[in-house]
Amino acid sequence: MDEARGKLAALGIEMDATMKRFCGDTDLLVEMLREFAAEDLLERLPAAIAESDGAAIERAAHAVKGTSANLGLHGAECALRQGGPGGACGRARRHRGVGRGGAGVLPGRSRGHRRSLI
Amino acid sequence: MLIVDDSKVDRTLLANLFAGSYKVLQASGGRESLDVLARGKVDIVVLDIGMEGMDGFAVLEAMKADPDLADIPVIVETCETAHEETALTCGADDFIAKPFNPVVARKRVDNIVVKHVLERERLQAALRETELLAARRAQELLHVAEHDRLTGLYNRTAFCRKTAELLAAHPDEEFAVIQFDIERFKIINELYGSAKGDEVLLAIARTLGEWLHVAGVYGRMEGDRFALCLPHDVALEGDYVRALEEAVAATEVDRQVVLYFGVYEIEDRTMPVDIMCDRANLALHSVKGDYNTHFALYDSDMHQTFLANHELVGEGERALREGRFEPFVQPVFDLATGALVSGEALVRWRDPQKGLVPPGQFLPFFENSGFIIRLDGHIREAVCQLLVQMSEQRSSCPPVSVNVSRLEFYDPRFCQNLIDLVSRYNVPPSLLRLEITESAYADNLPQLLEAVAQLQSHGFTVLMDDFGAGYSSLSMLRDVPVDMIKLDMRFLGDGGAGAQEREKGILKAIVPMAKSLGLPIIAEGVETADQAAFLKSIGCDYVQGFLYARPMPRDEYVALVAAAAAATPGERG
Repeated sequence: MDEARGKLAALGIEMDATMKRFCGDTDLLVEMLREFAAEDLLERLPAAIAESDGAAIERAAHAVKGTSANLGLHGAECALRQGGPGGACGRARRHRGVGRGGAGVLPGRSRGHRRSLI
Repeated sequence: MLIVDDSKVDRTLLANLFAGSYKVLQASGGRESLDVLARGKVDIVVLDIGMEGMDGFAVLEAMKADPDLADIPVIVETCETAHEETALTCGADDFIAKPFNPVVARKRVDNIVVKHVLERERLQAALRETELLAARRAQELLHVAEHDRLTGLYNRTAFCRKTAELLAAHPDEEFAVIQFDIERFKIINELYGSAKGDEVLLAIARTLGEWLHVAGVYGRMEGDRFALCLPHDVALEGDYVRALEEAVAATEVDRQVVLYFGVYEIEDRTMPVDIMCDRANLALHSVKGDYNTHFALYDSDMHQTFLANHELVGEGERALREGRFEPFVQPVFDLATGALVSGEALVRWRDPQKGLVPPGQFLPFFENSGFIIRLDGHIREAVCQLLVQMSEQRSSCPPVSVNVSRLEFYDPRFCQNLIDLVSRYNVPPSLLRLEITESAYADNLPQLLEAVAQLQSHGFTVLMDDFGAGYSSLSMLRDVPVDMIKLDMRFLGDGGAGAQEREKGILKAIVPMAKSLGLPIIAEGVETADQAAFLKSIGCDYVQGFLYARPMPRDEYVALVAAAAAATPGERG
């Protein structure tokens, strides 16, 4: 378990606050990180940007921001917060990379696609 | 708790957070959340604002618009501080910010739930209390609607309903409906005050409760009339009758209070109860005023009689319109000199088919129906015309008396109507004598005394009719300011020699006493020479009866008066 926590911390996850949020359940956190990586949430932002749909961009950015913050992915959240909907484009792209990279480094999963930006 | 969030991560996180203290339902979107709420209510909704499709604001709006959902507290989750204010304005109760602080999130949800649960319990308690109050009030209203205010007994409507229920519940048992009332109850109120009257009614109600509360249904129909529905044997056994009489006697009203009972033995249970009551009432009226019997069973003849009477009154109305009632006059003579001194007008009904209808066949029914007032009015008018006719033919004419029904004294315009009548015909009031039956004095003392005094002050002469017939006490002569007394000799003679002697003895006492009060006495119904001799021996002044002259049509009377005047010029009574 400590090993897993270490790996999660290495990903830049704020472990103290996040583990409180998950009631100390590391497995759940890992599961939710996988879920986050698999959700189409991360697809929505680039799609909205491609269509120049301001409202959709904003909604997707908020969604990513909220969920990533809950997961303790502080960097991604900060990036979105600073960028806001108008400037989310490049950061969102990077964020997408975070998600996939994150999934790759999760304990018990393939590490072959690690492209972490954090 | 319902968690609404399109992010499975956030949803799962919250579900995990609250799993220990709430039963958690989840919805992954706005529409799904409304479906879940439609299936069953929850204590709180935790709602993500920024959802794809139907967002949190739309869900909030839909919930507030639905009366079933509007009171469910909603806590919104958002990562945008700008959304917090808008959500609160839209009706959210509180918010929790992303990333969730588990302590803050739990506390806010708990606070809202506790507040709402308490509020709901308070409302439910208030509602329960309101419902209880409403139920109690409804019960009170029902009680007022069904019970007589004075005695607390069932009123007429409730009595009929409860009796119908009693009969339906005991289809194999025989029952009877009884009506009873108090003889001359009005006098008790008049003489002793209505408080005493109420005391008598309450004593009856109490006794009914003590004797009959398990036996049947009882109620107060109106005034002094009560109704009972009892098993047949109980109804005829009559123990309750004695109990009621004792209860009434115990109220210390200083005169005998007589109860009259009419009983209808129920044969046809499909008959409406109010008709059963009417039949019992017919039986009651058949013994009203009877001194020996206070209890009567209904039989079908009573119904026939009732219908016949009803028809008779209808015929009377028609006859009055067609002018078929006319006064006959029976002369009154001075016993000492034989001179014609006055007359009494007596109504006759001249029917085109039946000829002259005997007064005994219609007067009693008209007396009971109130039609008598209009009939008396018609006769008085005709007598005034007769007096005018006689006055025109002669320098003076003897007075004629007319009967005044006791019912007239209930009419406040009665005296004025009489005064107007004589002035319209320009007849001196002293010529139109007024005969008021003795029983009327017992009935309605204060109004009657007032009316008599007023009439006397306008010059009318008032006679007490049928003196000694029933109710009178000698003290009435002292209390009632009459001008003359009429004794009816027909009240003598039915009781055998012994009784006749006793009654003659009473007359012997009455006549000198009346004379000592300055009251002239007319004896009517004088039919034999023996009676005439007896009346002469005790000093009676005037006589009227078949022995001297029968009632006669007005023209005959006018002629007789003219002849008498020619024979004894200047004689007047």
